[in-house]
Amino acid sequence: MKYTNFLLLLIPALVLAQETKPREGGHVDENKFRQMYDLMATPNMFRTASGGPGPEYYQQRADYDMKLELDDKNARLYGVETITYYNNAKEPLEFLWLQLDQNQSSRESLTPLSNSVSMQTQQNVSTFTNNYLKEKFDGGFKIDYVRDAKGNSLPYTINHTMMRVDLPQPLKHKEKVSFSIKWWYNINNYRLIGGRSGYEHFEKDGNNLYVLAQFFPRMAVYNDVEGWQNMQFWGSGEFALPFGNYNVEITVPADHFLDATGVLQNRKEVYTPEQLKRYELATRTYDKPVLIVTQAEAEAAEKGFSSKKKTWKFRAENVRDFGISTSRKFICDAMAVKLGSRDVMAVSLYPKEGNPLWEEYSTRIVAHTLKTYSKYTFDYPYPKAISVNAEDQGMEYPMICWNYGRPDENGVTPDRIKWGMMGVIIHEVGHNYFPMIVNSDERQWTWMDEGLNSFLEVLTKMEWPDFPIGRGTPKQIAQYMAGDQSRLEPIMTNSETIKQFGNNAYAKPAAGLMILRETIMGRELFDHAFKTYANRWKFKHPTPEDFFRTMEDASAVDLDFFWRGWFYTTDYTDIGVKTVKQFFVSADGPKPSTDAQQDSPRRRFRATGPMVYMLEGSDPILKPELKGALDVKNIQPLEEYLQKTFTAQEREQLKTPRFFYQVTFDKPGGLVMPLIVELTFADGTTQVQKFPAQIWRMNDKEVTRTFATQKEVVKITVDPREETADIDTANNTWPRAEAKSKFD
Amino acid sequence: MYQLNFVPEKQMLQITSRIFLDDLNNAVEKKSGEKVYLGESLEKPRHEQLMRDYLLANMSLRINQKPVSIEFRTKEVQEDVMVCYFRVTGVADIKSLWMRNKNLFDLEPDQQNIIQTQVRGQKKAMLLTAGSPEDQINY
Repeated sequence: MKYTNFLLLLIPALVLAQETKPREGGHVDENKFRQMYDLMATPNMFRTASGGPGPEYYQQRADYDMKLELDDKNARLYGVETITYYNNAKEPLEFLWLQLDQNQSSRESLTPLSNSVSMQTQQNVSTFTNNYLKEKFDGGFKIDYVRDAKGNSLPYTINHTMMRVDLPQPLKHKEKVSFSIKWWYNINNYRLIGGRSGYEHFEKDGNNLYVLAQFFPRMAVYNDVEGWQNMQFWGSGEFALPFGNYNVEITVPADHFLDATGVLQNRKEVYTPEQLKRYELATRTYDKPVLIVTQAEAEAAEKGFSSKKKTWKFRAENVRDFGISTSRKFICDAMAVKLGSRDVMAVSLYPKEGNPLWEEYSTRIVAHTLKTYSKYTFDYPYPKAISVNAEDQGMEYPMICWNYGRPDENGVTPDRIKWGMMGVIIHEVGHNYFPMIVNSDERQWTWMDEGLNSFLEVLTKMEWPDFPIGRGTPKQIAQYMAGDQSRLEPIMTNSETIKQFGNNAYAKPAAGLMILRETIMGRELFDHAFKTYANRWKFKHPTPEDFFRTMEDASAVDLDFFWRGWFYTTDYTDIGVKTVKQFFVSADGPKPSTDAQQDSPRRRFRATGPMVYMLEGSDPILKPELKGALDVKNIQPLEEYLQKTFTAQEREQLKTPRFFYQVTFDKPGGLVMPLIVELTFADGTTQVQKFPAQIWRMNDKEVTRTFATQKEVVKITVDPREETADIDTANNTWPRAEAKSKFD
Repeated sequence: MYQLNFVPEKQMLQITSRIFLDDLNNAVEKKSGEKVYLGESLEKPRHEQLMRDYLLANMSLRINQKPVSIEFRTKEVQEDVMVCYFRVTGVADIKSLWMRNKNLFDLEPDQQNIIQTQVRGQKKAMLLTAGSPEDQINY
């Protein structure tokens, strides 16, 4: 067809189209690869475009001096604390906000009123009694006073889980203010009424095992992003807290064994001489835990119920919170971990009910966690990490965490309890990094610490023999991402409005980082960028944008398409093989060439002969003898060209493809991913070809590639190792595999 | 989570349940009064039998208003989840699907059973709770 004729034919077609369908309107840039100016905060002097703290970055500081006393009989905690607060912001502050997390379990708490509740048509009698007959547990802080440094009362206002303290005059830049709060509260039995802390009661011996946290009024964060935190503690969004130094004295019954955040200042007063010797040995033992309190000693102590008291004194530097665990029941072991030139103590506290599981695994997995996390981020900067056995728990505080897992009543530890216990210890010890040190705001963004921590948890499990990985892999999260859209929300959703917390805030971000590391960026670039983020923001308060920007900044991989899809939408991956066509090389073809005339002047020489033609098997022009593997000798113009152009030696070096295919891949899913294609040949061997995610930049629905191979292709598989969280693998293979069914 | 898929060429409704091992073990123990180790190296054939009895006793299904029987096929462990495969055979077409599913409600009153269905390309879901343990979907 000639150029002029072609145009003439086209005009009536256009007219016809206009009659049947109105012309489409225009649109803005909807490309999946467009940059994220529409979603991310504009960089500024506090936070730079490269993702690091800027020249005007500041953060506040809060130091605490506390004297606490535990009333074991009545399960109450009493405290007096002096807070010294430093204003490093340029602007003055008229008042201070504190968090009163215990108020979430007060009788006035709004949390129970903020959920939809349907009638339970079947209730056991104790549930019915708790729901309708019994008075609710009297939880929450009882504030005795708030006083300034001179002892005068300071006005304060309590708004549920937060307290505003009004200052006589605004606190200016670089000024500090000290004030004291006296308080007490009833400690909750967390196994009966829930909670991230509280106590567990042991019926058989009458003892309590306390895990005390969120136990004192704590300064809220004031920063350049949120101003004062003003989101209440509803129960899901945990905490962001300013860093500072703590001096804490805790008085408990004399027969308790206790440990807490920070360095014990009076070990000689609270340990027996024998325990001191064992502790000294532990500080020099790197290969196995050393018992500091034996099971026999713990069993003797739990019969005591001493009326005498003992005070334990701790100092903690540059921490954002404080946790305590104490009981007569505690066995304690510890070992030293070498990190660079420093020694760190890995410590475990557990009742006899935790053995033999705990004496074997707890301290060892703490040590393994510290080494592995240090490798991927920075050397653990604190002096110790304690793992406490508290049933039903998995909760983290600086240097101390509570972890579930005990043998059953027959003394048998089921596999899932053993791996679950080791997994929760990795996770909670790991939280020392995110968010205790890299202090993202969990009240807003649960995923920033849970997701990053779950990711490192998976890497840590992979470095322990035979550890079943569980959640955090792309294959595992596909099931969630395939779910009913009304039950999903993007990762970038506030902590309190996430419907499936474990999937959305833990597993999905972890799986996303796994895809970046293994499939999109590669380990070297990813690990360097991740480490850069951790080091830029340790002991600081990063935002999601700081993470996203640093990962790009330190790797030169533009990831806007990935952040936009995986973190800001509920889109899913689904890529499939749509069609496969085989082509055969022929010297004969349709003549004259149909497109030679249409090429631009610049390219016209490419279309001059002699030519070879790629024909489908069904093409009548194709000679039957050519319908098979290519033999160049059978294609005269090609053979002549090679003979003329290359020496015999050069011809030896040429590639010898014999089979030619055109494969069209379609993408029913909204997410953009690298296209990973595995070709399986007739002899059973395979070859994997990988195309970058950018292959989808011009067409988000389908792309086409050709493959020239030496061996005949019998099968084509997309994403053969299931590394992209593809939700529907039925369309991933050609020829379509009959899905093996569990139902037949 | 329960996925119900209608496969017309096999005249079959295929049901996949996914339940956390912890919850499943606890529920079966509570119901049977026996210690079970589902999904563990200590699992015995008896434990699987108790699990089948428990799950099937709590589920009933009506297709086009007629009660049908659910047949347990097999099970497998994926991570910390027990996946069970059930089927209903001889299903010519589905116009309505009614399900009662009280699994785990005896263990956890706040349990929600999400029922996702796919019938002739239509994806519809229902949410069953202790307060309303049954519902119907029309296609």
